[in-house]
Amino acid sequence: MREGIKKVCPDRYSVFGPLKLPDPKLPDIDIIIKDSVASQLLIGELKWLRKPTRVIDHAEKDAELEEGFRQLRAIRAFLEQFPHYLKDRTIVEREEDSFDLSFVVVARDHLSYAAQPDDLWLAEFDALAWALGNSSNLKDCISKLQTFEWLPVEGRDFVVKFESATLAGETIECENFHSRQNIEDLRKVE
Amino acid sequence: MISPTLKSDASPQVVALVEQIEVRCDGWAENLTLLGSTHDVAVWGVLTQIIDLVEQQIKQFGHGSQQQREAMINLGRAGARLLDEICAMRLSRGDNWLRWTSKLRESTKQAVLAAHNCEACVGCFVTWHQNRRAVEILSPTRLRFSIPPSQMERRIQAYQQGRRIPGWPSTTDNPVDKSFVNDPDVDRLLEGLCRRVTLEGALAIRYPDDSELLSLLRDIHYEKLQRAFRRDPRLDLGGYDLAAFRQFFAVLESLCAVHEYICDFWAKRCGRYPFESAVMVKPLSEWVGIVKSLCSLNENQIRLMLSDLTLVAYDLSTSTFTRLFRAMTRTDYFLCPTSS
Repeated sequence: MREGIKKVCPDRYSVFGPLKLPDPKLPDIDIIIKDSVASQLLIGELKWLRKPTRVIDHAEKDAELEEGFRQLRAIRAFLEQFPHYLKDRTIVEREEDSFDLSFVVVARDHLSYAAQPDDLWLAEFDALAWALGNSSNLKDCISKLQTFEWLPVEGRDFVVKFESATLAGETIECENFHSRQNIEDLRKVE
Repeated sequence: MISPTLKSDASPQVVALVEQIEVRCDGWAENLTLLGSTHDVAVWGVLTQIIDLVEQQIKQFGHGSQQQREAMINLGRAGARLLDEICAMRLSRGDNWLRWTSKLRESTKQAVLAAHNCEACVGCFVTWHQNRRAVEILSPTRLRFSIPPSQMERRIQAYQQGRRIPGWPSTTDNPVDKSFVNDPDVDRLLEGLCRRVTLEGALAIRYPDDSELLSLLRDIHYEKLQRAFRRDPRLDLGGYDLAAFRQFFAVLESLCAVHEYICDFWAKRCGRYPFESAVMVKPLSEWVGIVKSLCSLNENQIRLMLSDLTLVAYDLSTSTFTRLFRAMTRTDYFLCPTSS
């Protein structure tokens, strides 16, 4: 994942990682993206999950994302405790407090929405790649991701329809998410 | 009618009613007409039906369309569930005459649809138990499940199901290109092979192996698979790594591609899809031999990979068909009879 991000990251940013923290109980920092001009660091925990093929697997995958947030909190606490750590590793040239730090879990192949009680947040891998290439600086990139403008919009990009399934005389209805294009294609066929 | 309620907020009466309906749905396979067939006919029929349904999507929406991709995913799940159920039922071992009769076509269609519905039900009931879906009781035999009405949840769900904003680029995680082989040598060899197809019955065809064509396609597919095989090639899959599996899969894809092309060619030429040849049926030893002749993997690795792709492993001593494996290509499924 890190290599994938490096490939699409504009030259104006620097990408670092993985970084081992001195306490073996602490997780590695998977990735740091730096924008010196905008004085912004994006510190990421990368989670490439096995894509769930059934909705019943989602809870297990969500738990793995929660684990990512737990790791990220440990990293943030460490950096707060040792504010010179990134400077000592020559990741930043100036004191860390002159940079804005943003902490993100980057998820690939699975996504869930669970608002965090603090300022940690979740980005999807393709969306991060898209935002890196479609923003003026790293602050702008983070803003695009945090406002979820990369997510499809109901009515414009997708349509939700209740569809029924009957088994042994019992009928259940559940929501299916169709692209508008699919619906239009279907109408043409009908 | 009760408004949408999560299990954690539901009354004991609602929980009990949902449970009753869930238990009744669990018996989804008990009255399938297909269960009157022998084991091998039922399994072969299900695979053939799935190909038929995928072909219908291709006919309506085009090759490589999103609809085809979605049908492949949904039918793959439904097919796996149904085949598991068929094996668990221990059907009789009599007549193995594999003929695509109207009776078999209807009974497999009913069974695949039931398995598809069962997949939807399982997803709803499990997420209800997880408090991730709310239920509305529309009638004593009709439930409506819904995701709690958060716009963000719905947008994320839509994203997970492949919906994207306008202008979103094609990525490895969400390929939108059709990515067909476009090679003049492949076209030339396919054209030659099409001239050598012979009829084996009303709905069956035969054609010879063409190692030159298969080798050419293998190399093309191997390169294309770089996009799909996104993880570290050294990833250990148990007895072989991802790089070795990519070699194997490129061979399978080339075999599937030729077979699919020939079936499609025949359907267009004669106006009848060769359903009795749609599922490729070969002894295990023959599958191993073909794959081995087209890559540098050793026999043990190939056997292991075939075994790992096997959906159904059945009683070796009594079954004509001991191994079934499915390649996740467009429409091709493989059924391997005993390797005796």
